[in-house]
Amino acid sequence: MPESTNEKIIVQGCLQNNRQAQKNLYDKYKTEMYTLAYRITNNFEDANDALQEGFLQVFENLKTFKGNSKLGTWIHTIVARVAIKKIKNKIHFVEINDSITNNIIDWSMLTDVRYLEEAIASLPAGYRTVFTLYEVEGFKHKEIAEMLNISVSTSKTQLFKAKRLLMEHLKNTIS
Amino acid sequence: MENNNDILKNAIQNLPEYIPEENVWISIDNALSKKETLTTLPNYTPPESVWNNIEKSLSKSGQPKPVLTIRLKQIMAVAALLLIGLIVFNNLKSKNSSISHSEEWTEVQTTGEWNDNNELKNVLNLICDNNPSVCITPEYKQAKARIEQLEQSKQIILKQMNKYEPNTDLEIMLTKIELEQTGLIKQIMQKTL
Repeated sequence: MPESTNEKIIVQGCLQNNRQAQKNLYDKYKTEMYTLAYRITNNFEDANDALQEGFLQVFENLKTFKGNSKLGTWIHTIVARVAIKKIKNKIHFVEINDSITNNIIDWSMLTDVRYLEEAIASLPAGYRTVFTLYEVEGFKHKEIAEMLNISVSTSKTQLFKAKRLLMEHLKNTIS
Repeated sequence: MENNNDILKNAIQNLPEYIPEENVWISIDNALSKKETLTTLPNYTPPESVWNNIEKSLSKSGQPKPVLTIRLKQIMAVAALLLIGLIVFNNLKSKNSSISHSEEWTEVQTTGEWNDNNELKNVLNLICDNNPSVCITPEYKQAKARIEQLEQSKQIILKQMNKYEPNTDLEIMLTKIELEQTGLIKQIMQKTL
């Protein structure tokens, strides 16, 4: 059975409050969503809560899903929003006006993915969220700006600063 | 500006994934079950009489209340007359006070029924002796506390009053205190009967 047909059956079941269908949908996306929630919150307990709250919102609002995007993308957005809400009070963005084009980031020293994981976890909440949403999850700056209630330019500058910090962390770790 | 961006992209693709614990689904399952249970709770239709009563109240509240208004007006008029009378009476008293200070003082003292603090206490004790069950009621305790409080206020006012220089405001306050004390004693006595 094609993947999309299988997913449609699961969604139909979910819309009828079929618990097995709901469990199937959860199982299908749980790892992706849990990883996303953890990367944003940097805390497994908050990630558990975000996953739970996110899936409850998914089941509650599934009837409003029009199919304009992939179901996975829609669920990603819901879980990301819930996870952001968990750390909202830790995120403080500052508008930066200085030119960032003079700085060069070179990733050639990134030889081990474990270092990157450590470096991401070491970032402040705001940088980590923007980096995760843009680089890891593939959200656009416009979407990130809307989710975090910031401007597109702030999202871009925060991403660059996040990368710069990541570089510094990697340099320190590797050396 | 970024160099070797493909290295970062490649590393991101290989980042570890995390699997949630089983209890996350158990919590979701519980929450869903709770929600389903709540939505399947029965609905109850109220009897027709409830709406009838509401309708009656609504139509009543829509009408003016002339009787109550008149009564309120009457009460307010009587209260205003009494107040004017009291002011006029006190003014007259203060004018007469220039004849004899001692007379003024005597009048004030005779206004109340409880001139002596001990007398007041004796009455309260007498009530308790005759009917002990009344004395343990919260109403009695409340009334007694209020009487004692009034007595303290009365003593303060009496200290401030000067026999040879009458003060109308203090006299009015004293009268009010004594009247309230009398009223409270009467209330307690009525309960013992």
